[in-house]
Amino acid sequence: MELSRRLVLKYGLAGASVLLLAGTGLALQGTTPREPRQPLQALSSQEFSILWALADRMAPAHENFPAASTIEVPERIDSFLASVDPATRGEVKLLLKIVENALPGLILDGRVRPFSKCSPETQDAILEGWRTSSISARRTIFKALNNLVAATYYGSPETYAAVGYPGPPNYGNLK
Amino acid sequence: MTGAILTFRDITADVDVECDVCVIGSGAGGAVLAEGLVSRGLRVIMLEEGSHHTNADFDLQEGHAFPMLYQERGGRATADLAIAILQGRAVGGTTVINWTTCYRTPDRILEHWRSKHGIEGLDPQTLAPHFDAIEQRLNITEWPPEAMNANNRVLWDGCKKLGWEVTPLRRNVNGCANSGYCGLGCPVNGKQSMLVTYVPDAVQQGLTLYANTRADRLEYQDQKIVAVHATVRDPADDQPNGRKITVRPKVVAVCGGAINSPALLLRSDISEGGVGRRTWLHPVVAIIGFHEHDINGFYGAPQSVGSHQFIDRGPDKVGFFLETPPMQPMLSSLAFTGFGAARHQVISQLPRINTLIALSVDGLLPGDEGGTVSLRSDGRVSIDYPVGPALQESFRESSKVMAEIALAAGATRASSLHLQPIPLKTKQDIALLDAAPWGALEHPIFTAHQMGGCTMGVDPQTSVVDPTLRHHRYKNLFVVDGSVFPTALGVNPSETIYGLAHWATDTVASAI
Repeated sequence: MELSRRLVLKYGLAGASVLLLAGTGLALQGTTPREPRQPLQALSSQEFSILWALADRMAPAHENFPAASTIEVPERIDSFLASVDPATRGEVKLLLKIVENALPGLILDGRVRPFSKCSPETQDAILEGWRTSSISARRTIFKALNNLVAATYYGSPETYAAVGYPGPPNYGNLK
Repeated sequence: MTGAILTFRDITADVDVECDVCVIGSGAGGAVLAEGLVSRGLRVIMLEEGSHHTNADFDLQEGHAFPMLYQERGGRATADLAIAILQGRAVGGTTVINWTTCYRTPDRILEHWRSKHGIEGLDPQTLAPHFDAIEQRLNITEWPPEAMNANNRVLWDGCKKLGWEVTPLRRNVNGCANSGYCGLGCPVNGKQSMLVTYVPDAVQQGLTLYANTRADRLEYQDQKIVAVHATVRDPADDQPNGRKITVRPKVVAVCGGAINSPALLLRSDISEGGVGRRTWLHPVVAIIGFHEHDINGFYGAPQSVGSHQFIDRGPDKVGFFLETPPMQPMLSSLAFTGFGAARHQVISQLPRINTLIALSVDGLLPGDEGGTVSLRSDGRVSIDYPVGPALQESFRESSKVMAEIALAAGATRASSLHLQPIPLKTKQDIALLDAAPWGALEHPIFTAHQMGGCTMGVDPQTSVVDPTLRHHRYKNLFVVDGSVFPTALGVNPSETIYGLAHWATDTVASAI
């Protein structure tokens, strides 16, 4: 797939193989399980649980802002992913596993625990490492997931009050 | 004879049909062209991969509008995700979600196309009657300065204080409510998009438009296109629903825009002349300013003033022009830096933030090859756009200019949007931007203007269509959209596309 080619270009074959092991499931264990509040349409229960952990750090409860999981951002992203191109959906699923996986985590971040099992402080440090990495492919991976969470979260009316956005007017045009 | 707009719900059996012209795409190029063709009494079939929505669907929620009305559910971007690509996908194309700014093609660009690309016959006098017609139908008029929102007021006041050129913009609106939601589908049909003008005009005169129908491939024999093969898509997941549409036209007009038109040609194994090459994006960088009073940039016409003070910075530099974006929270969040509580903290100040954007004019410098549209092995479109030193310089200089404008207009501080944002409290601080990194994945980059990829020219080795928009090899194939531009424009491109389509109608009609 396209993403594999890019990872090979950026990391070299050995590095990419380590990252892509994440996609095999072999190296995946012990994700903290999260229960979806509606039937999943695109993600596996494990992928959903990883997304939950990510979303709650990318958009945590803070002052008037609700945690992403409180307003069902993980479920909304799951529905969204059901509507996108299957290849794009597959890439997002792979990225979730790459972030969760301890093996590339060990090599790139020096950690051995799955992302979802780390403390919030450690999770934030891991994400900041991806966000500001000197390797542009890691910034791309961060951006893919961060944009997905941000668009879903700040596009949710439940966050408008905290933003100070009164919301759109209604012109009586809606069916 | 009235035509119809047929959606996936209406298309219950395979279709195999002959016609005079098959127009692929219902946006700025396709809609104007189709209306001109049906008004000449020709039998026209239009294919549109997006859905048919009306203002009854436009609830102005970003979380609904982007997946509904934008390419790739709002997620289109360059392959490295460095550049977010805002491009429409619906009956009416990008005109349904654009921000309404209209300019005629600048004289200097037409002259550049003539002198550097051999495009004879496209001059201001030739195009003028076509722009006149478009401006009348779309009610393209200057937006009154007293109606500008506070976000535009920052650009206006800042430029005035600094002695820089700034002018009110012309917009294709009629009965605009000044809501600020042009990018999410106009709720009151004030925007004179193709959805409410040329598309219904054409349907009234006999156009048959198949929506949710993607042109997959052009079939050719010798030097003629003999069929367009299309599949009907279920809008829930955009996958083929089993219905096929085959159009056997005398003439084909590809009007899918600067990314999907080259992609269709590439899927059809038509690549000569550099299909997909020389893709221009008017790459956009932004600077934000923090104010003590409310700006509320999420309300009010998103673009009502612009500055071309820096459009020509000499022969070895990329020029740029300045405008403003709509500032609803979702789109803003994609520009703002960071994640977590830090991002919450910035976006909670949204009502008192202004945003300025600079659009860099790509394609004019010698050696500028722009981006490339290609096909991935899984069938998706890939867009690669290297951000070279000349663009990086333009990003840096335009950001310095924007910070100066924001501060001159009363911002207590401005900020870059780098991975580590640079706060700019005084004019002296602006020099900090000289040392900052500029380019892909260093800060957000957007594009709302996609151009090129099927460029017009005189040499079949280096261009896809000739200066009449006819394909060099396939004599009954035309490309009529922004993909034919040999360079970017230095102005918002919609009116140039309308005007070119209006001008090209006679040529397309005479090819039958």
